[in-house]
Amino acid sequence: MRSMKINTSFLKYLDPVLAFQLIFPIAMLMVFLIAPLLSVLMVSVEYNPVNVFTDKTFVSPKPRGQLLFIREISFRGEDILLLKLQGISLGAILNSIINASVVTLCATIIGVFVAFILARYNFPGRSALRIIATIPLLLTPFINAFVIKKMFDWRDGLISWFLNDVLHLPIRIGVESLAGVALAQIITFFPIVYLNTHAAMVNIDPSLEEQAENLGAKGFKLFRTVTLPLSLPGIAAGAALVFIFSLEDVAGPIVFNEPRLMSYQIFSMFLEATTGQLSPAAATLALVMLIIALIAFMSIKKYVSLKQYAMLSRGGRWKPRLKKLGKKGLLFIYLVFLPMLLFFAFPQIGVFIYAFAEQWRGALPEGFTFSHMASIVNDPIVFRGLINSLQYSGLALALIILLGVSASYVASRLSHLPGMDILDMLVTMPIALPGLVIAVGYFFFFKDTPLSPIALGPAILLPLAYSVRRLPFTARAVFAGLQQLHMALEEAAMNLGASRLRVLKDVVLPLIGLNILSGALISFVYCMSEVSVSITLGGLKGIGEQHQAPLTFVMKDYITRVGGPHIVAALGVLLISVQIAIIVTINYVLKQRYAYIGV
Amino acid sequence: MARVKLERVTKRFGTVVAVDNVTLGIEDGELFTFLGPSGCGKTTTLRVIAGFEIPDNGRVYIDNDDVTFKKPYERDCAMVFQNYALWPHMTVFDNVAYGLKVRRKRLKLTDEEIRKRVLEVLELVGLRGLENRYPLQLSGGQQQRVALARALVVQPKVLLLDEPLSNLDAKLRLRMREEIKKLQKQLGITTIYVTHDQEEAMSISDRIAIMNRGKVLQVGKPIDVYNKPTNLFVATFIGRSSALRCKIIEKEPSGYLKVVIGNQVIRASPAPSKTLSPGSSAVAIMKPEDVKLGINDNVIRGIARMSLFLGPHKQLIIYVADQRLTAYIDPEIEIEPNSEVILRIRPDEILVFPEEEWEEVKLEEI
Ligand SMILES: Nc1ncnc2c1ncn2[C@@H]1O[C@H](COP(=O)(O)OP(=O)(O)OP(=O)(O)O)[C@@H](O)[C@H]1O
Ligand SMILES: [Mg+2]
Repeated sequence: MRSMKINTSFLKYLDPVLAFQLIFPIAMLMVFLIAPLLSVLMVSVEYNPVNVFTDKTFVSPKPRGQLLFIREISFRGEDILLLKLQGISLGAILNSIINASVVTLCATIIGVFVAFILARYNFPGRSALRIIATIPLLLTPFINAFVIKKMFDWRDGLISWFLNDVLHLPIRIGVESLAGVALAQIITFFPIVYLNTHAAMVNIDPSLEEQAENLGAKGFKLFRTVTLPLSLPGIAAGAALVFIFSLEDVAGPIVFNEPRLMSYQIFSMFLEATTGQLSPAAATLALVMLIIALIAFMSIKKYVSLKQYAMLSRGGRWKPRLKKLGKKGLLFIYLVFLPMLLFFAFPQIGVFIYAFAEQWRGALPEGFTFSHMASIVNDPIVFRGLINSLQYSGLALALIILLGVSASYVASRLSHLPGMDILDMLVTMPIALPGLVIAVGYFFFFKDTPLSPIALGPAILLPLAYSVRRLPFTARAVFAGLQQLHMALEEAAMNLGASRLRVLKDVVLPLIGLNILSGALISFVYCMSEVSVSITLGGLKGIGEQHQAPLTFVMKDYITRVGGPHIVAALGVLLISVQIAIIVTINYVLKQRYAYIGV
Repeated sequence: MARVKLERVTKRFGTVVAVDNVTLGIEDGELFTFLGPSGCGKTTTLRVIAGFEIPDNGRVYIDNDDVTFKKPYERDCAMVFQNYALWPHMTVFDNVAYGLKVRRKRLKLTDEEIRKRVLEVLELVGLRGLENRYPLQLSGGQQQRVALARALVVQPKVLLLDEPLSNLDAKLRLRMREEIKKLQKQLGITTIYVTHDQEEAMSISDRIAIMNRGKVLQVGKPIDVYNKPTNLFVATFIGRSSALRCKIIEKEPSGYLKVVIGNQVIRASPAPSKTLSPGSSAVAIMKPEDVKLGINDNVIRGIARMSLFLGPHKQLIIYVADQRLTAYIDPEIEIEPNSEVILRIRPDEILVFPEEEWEEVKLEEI
């Protein structure tokens, strides 16, 4: 009776515009998010999911391989000790879970450590270090993992070269297979923890820490008893995102040629799907991945909802509590901390080296050339991929803005109504959904519809998938803007006779335009560099002269070709430039405070 | 220009009844004020009239139209918001012109006509010359006038003002209140005003509705509400009156009551149409300006505790049988703290209410 009452009185407030803003996002997300996820569930149940768990490829009770491979060998006429970090396999499912756990643990420790130093200590060059710490976040699909692989190649890697050829130690080091994937992911993802933790730490009311100090807590004790618990929401959010991203990362496994992970397995099943059939085992793997990711997401939902974001984005209300460092501290910063950050940033530096070196086959790059950069335009396949991605991302962006503005508007303006939490969750959830799950879901859900990716190719479904996956970035930025926009400003216009649409056009959009723009720019970058759906659904038609595949599919294809990595690196440089331009625009031109990723 | 009628309007927010079964009519061209303590439902009532809230029960009429379910933009009410709600991205001119631009088609207005009307209104509120400024470049008083101009320019049927002066300093408040009154009379617009400041309400209104906890307790001319409160809440809320608990001894043939406060007997008047039988407990209400020092045939003794100089008069706080009583006295007079004082009050100026209504007042004080 009571809920009836709420519903009817709620309908009285609806006008066509508001109704559209409510129904459009819900309908779109139902069809392009929930329905595909349900079809993952249905296909895997139909297929009998137990099959997957009894298959040795996916679950193998007997451990295979070894974590550390040590052998004395003769290399280039010299007796050396070869140390290779490799990893133990328990089948793809367990491997993925273990890998994600290890990556999350390491990335969290590093991220919290970096955040603590940068949030609590002051020293010359601090702002530069803050920037360096975020460099690994610059997305360069495939090629950054490739650089990491190259660094730790025991034959031609920089590390072994340095130890063996420069320092003349009889030792060579390699990181390969599962360990390689983990290493690449740790380096790539730790900044997510760093950023979230840093945001949480600067948001801590300094008086709380001062109070504890007054009571005698110092140094590590202070950190453990006050700072750490208070930044826990940020840390948890960052860690959970890393866990999910690691689980679904498919670039690392491809580069390290490591098929013993769920993500690679799903990907490789798509390689055979060009015939029109996708193994139902893909659905089961996707379901497992989805369940694990959802558990991780639910555990942090509190911290990543639209509402919470608005709270956190108000960051820096306090004057941060910065301590001056003594001599020892400074030595530590410049001799240990800085080199460490530079090491983590090296993959992006390596991308530049690859892009401009004639070749890089031994330990050191050789020659300088612009020809790889020129290939972006000159190579018709690459250029076509770039154009495709621009088109898909542009299309996706139009949808994202419409969806993001509508959903955020309804969520912020009708927040007192029941069901708005569900809308909020629908809009935020994609950030935590493995793209591969979406790819599998799209395949099964749309395969017998007019939108079939096999018949139609990816040109329609890819923009839709992009728009769902990258919606949270815009939706949150818009929501944050709407939180700042007092409702009375809209009521004043309505009160003077302006219809809802007119109020949107005259009052809301002009006042949150910058939020929309910055959110949209971020979404755009993430569409351009989207990997999971792009290399699966996006490649169903293959690549040729007039192909429909997006840029990241081309990058995946080229990374394994001879000489291909240079061109992929050139594309990486292009993507980095776009990302830097956008970050600079958002921060300095639009003057928006915007968390680049995560909370 | 219009009449507004509320018929049994109720609005709830969850368990809070913000507006509780309110029925009243506002006349054409009248300046009608809702007055009441914070949270009593004034803003909500105004928002129901403006169409921002839809009542759970009851009807709202403007003239003879039932507008209960009409959208805000279909009602032709113009509201001045408490925080003004000026659009920061529009100039003063554009803010004021907005309502006309929205109506341009319907009223067949040209740019020139819009311009003319905007400038006229800006002239009226004394803001000519500031039309190209942005709201953030204006003082609080100027912003308030832009908000007023923005509402006036569309010549609404009903003008709604939600505590329009609360963000201004005391001096500007007095001036703006005169200006609003003057403009309202000049234009003859039906105006509904919300405030929690009784002086403001008394000085500006044709009629006042006193609200408490969602209910309208009394509607009337300021002077009537002031002098003839019909219930205990209104009596205590208006005029900073003191309330002393007492017991009724007898009803005199003259119509006065004999009541006892502590152990002192005093004559008082029964509040109209209340049952006050001898022997029952009651509450006696007196306004500070009616409580005077000195002797006549109706006196009460008390201990002076404190005196506060307020300018035109001195506020004396007296305790009578452990209950607080306030009097305004001549500021020249010095009174020793803790000395006994004798106070005279005309029986007509002590109003006695039955004790049942006391609960509501007490709750409000908490
Ligand atoms: N949107 C809302 N949701 C829930 N409760 C509300 C809402 N708006 C008002 N209320 C509640 O309704 C009651 C009346 O509120 P209202 O704003 O009308 O009071 P008011 O008389 O204008 O007070 P003030 O003088 O402080 O402005 C209050 O208890 C308030 O908390
Ligand atoms: Mg109010």
